[in-house]
Amino acid sequence: MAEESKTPLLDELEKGPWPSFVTDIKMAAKRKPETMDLLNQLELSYEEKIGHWKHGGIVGVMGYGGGVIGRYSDRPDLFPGVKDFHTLRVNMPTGWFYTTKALRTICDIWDKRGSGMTNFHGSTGDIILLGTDTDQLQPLFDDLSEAGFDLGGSGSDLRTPSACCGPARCEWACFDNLQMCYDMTMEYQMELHRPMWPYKFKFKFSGCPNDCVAAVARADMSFIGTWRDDIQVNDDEIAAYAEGGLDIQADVADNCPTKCISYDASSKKIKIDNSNCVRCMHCINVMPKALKPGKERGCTLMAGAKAPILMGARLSSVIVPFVPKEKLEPPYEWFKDFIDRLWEWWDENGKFRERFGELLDRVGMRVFLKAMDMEPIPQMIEAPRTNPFVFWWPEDVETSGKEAK
Amino acid sequence: MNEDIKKAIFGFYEKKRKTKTRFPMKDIVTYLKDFNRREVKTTLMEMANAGDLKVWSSGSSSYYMMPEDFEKLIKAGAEEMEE
Amino acid sequence: MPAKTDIGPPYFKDFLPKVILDNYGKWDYHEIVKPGVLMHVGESGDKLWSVRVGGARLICTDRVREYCDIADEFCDGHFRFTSRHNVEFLVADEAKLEPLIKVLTDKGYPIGGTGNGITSIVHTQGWVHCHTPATDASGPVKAVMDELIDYFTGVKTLPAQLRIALACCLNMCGAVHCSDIAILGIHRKPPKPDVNKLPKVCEVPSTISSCPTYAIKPKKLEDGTKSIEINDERCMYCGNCYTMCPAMPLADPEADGIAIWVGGKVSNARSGPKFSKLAIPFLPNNPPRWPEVVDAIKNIVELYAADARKYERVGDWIERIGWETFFDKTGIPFTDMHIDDFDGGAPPPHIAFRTTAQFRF
Repeated sequence: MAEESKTPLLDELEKGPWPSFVTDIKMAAKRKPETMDLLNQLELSYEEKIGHWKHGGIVGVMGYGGGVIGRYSDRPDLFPGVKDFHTLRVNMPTGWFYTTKALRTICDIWDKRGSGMTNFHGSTGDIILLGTDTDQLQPLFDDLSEAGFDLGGSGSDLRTPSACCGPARCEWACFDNLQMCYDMTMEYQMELHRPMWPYKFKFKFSGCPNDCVAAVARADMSFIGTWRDDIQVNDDEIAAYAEGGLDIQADVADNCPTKCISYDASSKKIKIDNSNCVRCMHCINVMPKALKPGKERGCTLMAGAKAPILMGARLSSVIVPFVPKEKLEPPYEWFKDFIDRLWEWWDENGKFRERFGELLDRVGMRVFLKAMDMEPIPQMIEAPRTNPFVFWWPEDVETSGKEAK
Repeated sequence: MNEDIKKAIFGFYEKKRKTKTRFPMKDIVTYLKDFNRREVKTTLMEMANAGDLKVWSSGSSSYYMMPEDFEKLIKAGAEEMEE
Repeated sequence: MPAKTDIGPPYFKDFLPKVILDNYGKWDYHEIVKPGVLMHVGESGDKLWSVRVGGARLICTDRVREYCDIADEFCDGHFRFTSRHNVEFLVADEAKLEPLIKVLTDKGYPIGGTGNGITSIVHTQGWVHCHTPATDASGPVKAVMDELIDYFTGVKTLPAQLRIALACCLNMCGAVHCSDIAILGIHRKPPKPDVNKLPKVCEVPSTISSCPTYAIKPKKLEDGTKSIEINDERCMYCGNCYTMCPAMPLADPEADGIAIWVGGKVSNARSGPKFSKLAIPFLPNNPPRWPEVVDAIKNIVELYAADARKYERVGDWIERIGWETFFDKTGIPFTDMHIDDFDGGAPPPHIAFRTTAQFRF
């Protein structure tokens, strides 16, 4: 006789076409009693409409200050299997490309030492191993390290950098963002594993202005691939799109944000006024066979994005309009110097738990630019200020006063 | 390990532990302003590696604590859970 | 023997299939062959297909092993995940493409998420593992995707891509602040601190300074211990104090729920990145399927699908028709809560910064 289900609410979510996480928890629960407790605690949450987790404390792994998130059930009386149920972040391979061999290795290690539940992937990009107890943490790390894996970041550190699929799969990648993401991850292992800053700092690398890794919204330092010269046009392919039925005028030219594309329907040719092109990618997105980014490639550096806590959400804004491709390849001397000075400034001036973007808002962009010895340029702003409360550098007042005489 | 800095760091904790037990790296670096900032940070990390200090993390931010205070805090959390 | 530390992740190039290594940085163009199937063509003429499949994100090792089995059979052991939790099987041999699609379909995996439609909903832990959730994550995601599956599989299309994200609280892990539609877990009641326990488990100064609206003040208890008290009127229940101090819980099963935000985006195409804006201040948590949330989102999606012009993202569409028209057509009530009043309404400096990569040299 079939047993009456202990999880009637969650069972509901096994129906329907979208892959069901409940099915997966049940599969792991067959093998792991702690995962059965996870399932049952989740059902209680669904009944009571409240979470049952406590946080904090455990960092767990010798030599590191992060990579493990401590979690404890607040009902260990009911669910002893999840009394300690910590999460381990594993630094994913750049671009989330895997071999089945590597993934099976991770599965073997995790099945031996934890709940069998994972996230592919966490928000920052790490592989999340969801649920193990305190004394498994060090052995788990030892096994992963032996297999060639390392932990991701957590706490007040450099979080695991991430990148879109870049030159591995996309014709629009304007620089080797995968390689740079990997190289920076390796370069800054100290900063990643040993928290030493006011708060967290994130790098995200997108190969083009489509920004498929949402760098502009989610990274303190956002790398957006771009180009500086003219969009490459293949006239034959333009004509082919037109003959194929694409309404180039309406779909492409009319959607250009700066109206810099003119299309001649009789000759089936387009003309791009590149000096007014802001490289938004729309025309390229629509006609990938006919249009390509220019040849002089690199990236735009934008900085300061974050989620709402504490002073509101921020998008990154332009700080270096164009870094040429050559500077985005080993040995990265220019960038390493730049980011070291930026981190130094943020670390010295930032309050506890103050993100880089919040510091920028608190002290003002002019203070940052002076500290970094950078020139202000109009590409940094949407428009000049509208409030008249202008700070002057005293030395500039002295100088201009003398000139006036 | 820079023994002068290590001594100064222990001095910091001796003084401050009466009111607080969890300190972000910043608090310690600011207090030890007569020393080189980078050296202070390096020493803190070395002390954490060696077990002279413990790192407590909420997941989003990180604090440095004396080992006894760390153990007390973990236990206090555990006691709360067992209520 | 102690483990090696600081070794970093495995080198990604060791995981790339031959066709990618041969064409790395030398791809010519791509096409969407059919929903969920991308074809990439190299300058060499080599072809690679990516078959994109919906992923639940919260998956067990058995599931990962099943993906591996499929990838071994059809992809020489290579596949990847997308930045939005979906799975992409990388097929170098065209003869294996249709057999792979058949196997995936037979196993019930939805194929899609390409082109002008809805891909997976970016989300994190919710009641499964988060310590500050106002709602679950995986549950609402499953409920919404079940309802909107046709926009994933390409049975129905949209004027442009529509990115949905969910955050189980105001910490907003993920790009919830810049999504076409965002599902946000919210609290609506101030914390009830245990002022006696608080000084024992929390740092009073950090707790006080964690509040964005200065709603927490120091208060001495009768025995002289320093604790805190909350000015309830200044509290907007963001829960940051609870992140800093476990003795300040604020979760409440009836007051907690979900807010819906609309109109954000991250790409620079046509229009620059935009924040999401508040559409619906509160819908109740109604597990297991959150019907109010699903209906509200479906309503917005269907209206957008019918009314927006080709290539207009949700935010672009609303800007063109005007917010008053949006509220009118969706039937969503406009309230005083829709009007920004954080910090007295003074826009912070970054509002005037160039938060797009769209610029002239």
